[in-house]
Amino acid sequence: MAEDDFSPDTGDGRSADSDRITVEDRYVIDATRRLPDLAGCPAYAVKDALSAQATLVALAPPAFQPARAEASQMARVRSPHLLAAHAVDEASGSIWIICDAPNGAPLSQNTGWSESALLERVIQPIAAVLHAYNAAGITHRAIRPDNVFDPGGRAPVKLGPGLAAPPAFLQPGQFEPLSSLLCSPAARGAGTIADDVFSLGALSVWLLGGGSGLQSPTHPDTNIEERILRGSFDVLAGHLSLSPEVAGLLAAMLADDPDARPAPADLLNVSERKAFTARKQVSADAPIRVGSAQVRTTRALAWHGARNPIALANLVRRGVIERWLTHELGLTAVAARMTAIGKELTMTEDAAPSPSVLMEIIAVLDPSLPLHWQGEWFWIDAIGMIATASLMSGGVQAGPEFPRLILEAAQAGGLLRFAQATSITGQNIAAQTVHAALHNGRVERVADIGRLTYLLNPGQSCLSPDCAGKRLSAAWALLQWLNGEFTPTTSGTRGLLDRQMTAFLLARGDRSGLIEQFGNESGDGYLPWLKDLALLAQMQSRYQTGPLLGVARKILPHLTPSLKLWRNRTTRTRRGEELAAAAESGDLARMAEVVVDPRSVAKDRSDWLVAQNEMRRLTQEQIALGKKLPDVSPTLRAEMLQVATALGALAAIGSLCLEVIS
Amino acid sequence: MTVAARMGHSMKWVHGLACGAALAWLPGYLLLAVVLFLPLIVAYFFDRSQNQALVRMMLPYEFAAAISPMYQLWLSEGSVDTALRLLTDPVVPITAWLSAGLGWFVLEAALLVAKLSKQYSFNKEKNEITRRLKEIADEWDHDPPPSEVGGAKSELGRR
Repeated sequence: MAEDDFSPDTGDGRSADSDRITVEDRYVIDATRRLPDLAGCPAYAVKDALSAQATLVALAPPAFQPARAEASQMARVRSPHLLAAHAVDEASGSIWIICDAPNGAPLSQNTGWSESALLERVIQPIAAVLHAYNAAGITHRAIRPDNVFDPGGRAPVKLGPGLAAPPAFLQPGQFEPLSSLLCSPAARGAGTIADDVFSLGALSVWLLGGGSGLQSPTHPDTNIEERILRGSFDVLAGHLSLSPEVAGLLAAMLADDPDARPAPADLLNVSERKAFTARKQVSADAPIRVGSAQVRTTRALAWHGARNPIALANLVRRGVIERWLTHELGLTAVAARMTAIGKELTMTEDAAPSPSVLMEIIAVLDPSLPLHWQGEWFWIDAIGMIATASLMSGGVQAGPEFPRLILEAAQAGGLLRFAQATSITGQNIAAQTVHAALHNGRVERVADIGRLTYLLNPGQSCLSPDCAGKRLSAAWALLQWLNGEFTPTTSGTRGLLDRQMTAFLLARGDRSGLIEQFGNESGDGYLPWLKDLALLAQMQSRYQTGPLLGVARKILPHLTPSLKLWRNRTTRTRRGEELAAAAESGDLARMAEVVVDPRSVAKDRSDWLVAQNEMRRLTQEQIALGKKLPDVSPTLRAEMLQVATALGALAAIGSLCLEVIS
Repeated sequence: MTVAARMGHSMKWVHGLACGAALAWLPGYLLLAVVLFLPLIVAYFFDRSQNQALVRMMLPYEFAAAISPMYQLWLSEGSVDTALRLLTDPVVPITAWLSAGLGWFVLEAALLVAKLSKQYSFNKEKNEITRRLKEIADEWDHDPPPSEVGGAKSELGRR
């Protein structure tokens, strides 16, 4: 980053150039040439300077739909059937993902598939991709018709990138397993490779069914209930006439229990002759009644219980569920856990179980379900995206109460307890990561939840309403933008930066070891403009940006009130001049030094007290002088008498001498 | 009766005797002296200052004015005629009496000068205080500062 990039004047020159962005010295992005979206992400034309034949696209993930936190790791995954990501780069200040261009039409436009073609050209190649992902320990979570491309002929399909959008965020409901469908799109998390296998199965079913009707990512409760009661395979593929082998394969892939789904490696050589048997979930002969519903499986019990916590708690307390689990389902281990929870429940007199206990009951009943907390379902690793979604205007992707619930769950230790109860791997690490972020970011209030968005996703760009459209994901890029085109709004409660900009800069600074600064934001000490100045000064020296003239000029007029801390007018004038000089040279650190100088203020204060005392004393003296009329004291009178007598004596001697002479 | 009072009595008695003797042997001198020193004699009775300070102060002035006529009277061997002639010359008694007044005037003038000088230094002091007060008032704000740290804190608390 060149230092002169930061002067506002050259900022304009740069914007003319900013239509052409060079990434990794070889990919030249033309930001004026918009291409059709790829994987739900805006795409632009890009040329590879080293290879004229390469057909590439540049993906620009929007601020509120950021790239995956593990995007760089995902970009390293290579498979012949995957549109490879060649670079994930933010050297231009915003995240750009350079990716192979699709080699054909998306499957959403090509829906006539035979079973054998599907097995060979869709399931096998995508299974190979998933195998590579599985080996890398990550998930794709964007397997849906518009992200799989068919080159035509007998060539296998290619899977589009999964790193350009939050996991499962744009997935239509029918391509998601129950464990993900229960959550709002932002709360789905990265899931497991079994979720990708489900999506692949769902894609296959959709293609065999003629590709009609894509559901929306947000899913109504009635659809979920139907899938819980009948099982996903029945709901999604029940109406299709399939060969027994393919039906067995798809039933296994669409199993609601993630452990029952085949691994990607099992699907690599899948054919019509390879048989899969789907494990059916254990179902009770005698149903149990929760509220008005009758349920036969633990999953259905968990789902209805979450909607009717008092009834569920009653059943647990009375030991009904324990007996039902033992006698009807033979789940003695689960029954034993339920007994322990039942004892815990009998100790409290409340009819409704605490959110923590309810969460535990549900996690024990079906360990593959997401964390349930006061009516919201979410995965721990999705908390960063939930925080992002909660900042979205309108907030449709996450309920307004979601941030509060997350904070409550974390503070009550719910995340760690869930991580121990769930059968889904990775939740423990995710819970620890979230706790570390909560601690590092000093997130103690619901209003601070927004900080998690930056702390948990290093590629998250600044979400301030002023600059969200600019996709500024590097701290220096935000500084540059603040220095250039940004015009601050006049508001009593904010300074130059709003809450999002501050959180963004602090989180980026946190990664660079400026951790202790988080305390400042929540507030002890100075006026908003001063705090912003202090933070920006640190950022200026941290990123060695050189003079920030634009920022200095924008802040300067608002610092005048803080100079009033000095009561000495001469000092104030001198400080004002020094401040103006520092601003003129764009030196924010110097400006901060001039304005924030507690020692000088303390000295000024003590000098002021001395001056006030002197003034009081002088005023008293003045009053005393005013009262006292000048009077001739007796001593003075006596002295004057002596003087007059002496003069008389002189006159007498003079007269005598005169007489003697004459 | 104190020793001083007894001494005063005896002194008065001596004064009386001296006056009588002077009247008998030096009538011219006495006459001239009485007339010329008349203001002193009057002042002697009306002077309320301690130890007749006013009279003592005026005495040298009177004396200075009386030397010349006394010398003339001495040259004419103290004759009453010369004394009368001197007394009838208006310049002589008027000069003597004015010189007594001059003594009083010198005192008053000295007092006035003292008073004025005192007043001057007084005013100087007053002006000095006023100047310093103005200097402090110009240099310092008097109201408590508006954005004291506490105020900033509460502002931040709301953020």
